[in-house]
Amino acid sequence: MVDVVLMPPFDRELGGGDDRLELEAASLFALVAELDRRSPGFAQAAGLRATLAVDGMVTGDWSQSLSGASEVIVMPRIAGG
Amino acid sequence: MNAPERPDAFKTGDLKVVGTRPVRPDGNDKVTGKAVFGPDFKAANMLQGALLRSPHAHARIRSIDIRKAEALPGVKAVVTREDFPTLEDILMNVGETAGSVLDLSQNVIAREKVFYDGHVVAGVAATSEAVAREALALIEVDYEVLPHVIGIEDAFRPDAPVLHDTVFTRGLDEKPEQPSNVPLRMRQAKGDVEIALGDAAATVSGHYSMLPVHQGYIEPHACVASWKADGKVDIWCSSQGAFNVRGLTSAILGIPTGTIRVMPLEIGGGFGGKTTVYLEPLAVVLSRKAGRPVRLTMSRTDIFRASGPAPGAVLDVRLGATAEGTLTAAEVEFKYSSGAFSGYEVFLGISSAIGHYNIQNYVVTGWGVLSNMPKHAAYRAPGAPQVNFAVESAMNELAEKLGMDPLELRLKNAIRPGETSMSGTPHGEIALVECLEAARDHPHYSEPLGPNQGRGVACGYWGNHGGPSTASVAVAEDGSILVVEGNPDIGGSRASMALMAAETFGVDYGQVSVTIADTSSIGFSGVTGGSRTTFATGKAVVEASRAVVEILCDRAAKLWNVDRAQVEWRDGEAICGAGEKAGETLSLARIAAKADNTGGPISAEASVNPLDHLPGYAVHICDAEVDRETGHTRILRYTTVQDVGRAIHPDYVEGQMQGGAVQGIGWALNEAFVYDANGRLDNPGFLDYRMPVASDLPMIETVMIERPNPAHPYGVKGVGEVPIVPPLAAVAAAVSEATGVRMRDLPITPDRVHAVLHPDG
Repeated sequence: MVDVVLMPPFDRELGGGDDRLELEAASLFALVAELDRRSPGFAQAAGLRATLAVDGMVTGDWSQSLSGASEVIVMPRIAGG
Repeated sequence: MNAPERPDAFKTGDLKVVGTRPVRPDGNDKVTGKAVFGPDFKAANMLQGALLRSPHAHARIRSIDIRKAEALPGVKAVVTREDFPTLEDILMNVGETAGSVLDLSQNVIAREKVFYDGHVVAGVAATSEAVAREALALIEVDYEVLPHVIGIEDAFRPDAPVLHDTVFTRGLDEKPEQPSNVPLRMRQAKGDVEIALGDAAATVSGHYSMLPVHQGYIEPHACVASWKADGKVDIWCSSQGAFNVRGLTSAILGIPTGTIRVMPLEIGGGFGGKTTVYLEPLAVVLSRKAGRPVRLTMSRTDIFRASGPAPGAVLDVRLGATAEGTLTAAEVEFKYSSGAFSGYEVFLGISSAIGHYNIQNYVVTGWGVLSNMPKHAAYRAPGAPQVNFAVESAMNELAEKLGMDPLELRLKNAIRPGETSMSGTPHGEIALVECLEAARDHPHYSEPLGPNQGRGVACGYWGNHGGPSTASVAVAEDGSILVVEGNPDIGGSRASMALMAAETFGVDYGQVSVTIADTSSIGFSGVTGGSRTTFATGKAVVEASRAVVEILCDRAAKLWNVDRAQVEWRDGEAICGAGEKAGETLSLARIAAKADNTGGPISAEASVNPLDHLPGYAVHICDAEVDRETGHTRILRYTTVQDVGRAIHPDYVEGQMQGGAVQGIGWALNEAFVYDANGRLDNPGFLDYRMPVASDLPMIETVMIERPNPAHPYGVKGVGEVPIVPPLAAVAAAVSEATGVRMRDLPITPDRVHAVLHPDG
């Protein structure tokens, strides 16, 4: 199991207001698929809207294994000028 | 934002080229008028385009009659909403975040309604600009004028005229039953703010406001588009990202991405405002209809009326602290305008509000608010300066209440490496504390002040970004090094890329040439924005350079007939480590000359997607003097201290620090979008929209704090955006001290200062 921390606005969209979930997922792709099951459409938009961090490190490789990982943070993708 | 832990990847102390200050490769062309910017480009047989813009702030379009315009001699094409596809409301990459294609498309050309003064309604391509403008006057648009709304609080009211009947506030406990002008509420909270505020030894609270401001780039938006006989499209334009222009144009017009080739021209400033499209899809459709290339250029008036300003804001802040100055609570609520279509600055405001402090109890709430203004666009650290103004102003007030030095109060609460960021990840090698200490110890901070003078300080941060970039590196026949990147050069990135490549090869800076490629000539690169280019594209350049060095060593091994492992690369040449040739060297030029006999051309390409960027921090000190008769504020001295990682080219880092500070000073003192009672922009020009110029300001002093990012081969952190974050509060604090009146509303114009100094008139 991995702790999933949902930063706003994903706490409301995916957690029904809760900002923490416990999920079983082998990889980030699998985790996103599980979140999509809870909130249909998330997977399609996640690549555009969300950034994922595994144990404190942001990663763009969603094939990354979650074996041994303890925490995944789902945060909004940032923008700049 | 992130916590890279690879200190072994970064070697300090042995850099020879990185950190020097050579002349930028594009400098001579730019100062002698030879560089080709957006409005300079001409294509053979090109037509001139012109756009008809709405005179109304909000109106339904009953009909558009273009027959007279089409009949005018010299007119080759007229386009309206009928020439654009109906789109689904899907998300796509817009700059560095997701945006609605439907919103973008409607912002390019109005469909059922016009949403702001200056919204495009139709376009004409003709043999001359005069004919095109004459044709615009012949287009008959039947409008049903609707009630409009401009101000944030006015648009927020439940009885306000609603722009879109499809917008329902997201982020509430329950979906509202009625549409509104409030697309989004976001909230981030930790601990119990009310209890913490109740227990605090000292509290401050305040209400703050500011109006939208423009990015103010000198070069207008301009492009040439050519729909070719084979159905493919060429676009020449200046932007912050040619790939971004390609992707957005493709989505808005519903044509395959691969059919569009975007040629980047030199860019005369963007500051975030050129991370979207306004003209390109219109020029493409005009060209398709006319069968010839078409140029569109915005006038300065068009730019102000119809391209994105940064959000205006209303903000409320409450802070609580112990008697010793430890922050215990922060409550921040803000509303940001976003123009006629939703923006993304709200969540950036949330993440930027108090992230530079370690506070155990907080709640930050942000609202996005639509109104009849152009769709807002990114502006240097989008969403951060507004909320920082309120929070840092409250910090200065809290310091006064506690009897503490304002920098010592900040030092006591500053975020440090290893502590958790607002996004939940631990901080890496950040240097806010070092910046605050450097500001405190700077001679400026202890310089005596005279009558009617005041000093203000503020600090702030910006998360920066990384993301996708591609670069290729090739060795020419004579050993010259050719770097190709896909990012427009806005702040000196050609020079920075050349420096990093030269460092990696161990050669002189002058041996490297850098080219900005079009979208069909290099792999994908994200926009030049988000303070990402020197970091991310720099990583791609270094990675490709290292790959080429590897090839060069391999070729040298072949020439020496030794194992590759026996060859070392040092100071721009291969050194043989074994056999009869031990100790011999082969220069880059000699290896290149034998390329055909050792395996062919020598080149490599690298595509990267680094996300191990680190945020940047800045501390600003401002001295201001107020003329009590006129209310005019003069900036006497201004110092910026910034956590810059490793300065690849210190001149351009300092330039970013100075430029950001000056734009922030303008935001604080002068700049604002002013609308009349009919919702028309009242100051769409530089005479009435007053930006600071060189003669208004002293030289901005800079102090670079170099704490390298260990995740970058040369320690780069983004530097371009954070310098616009602290000036608003620093300037306001200086004026507050000079006048004795707390300044909570921007801009602090002379009439506003005069009014607080002379309340009886």
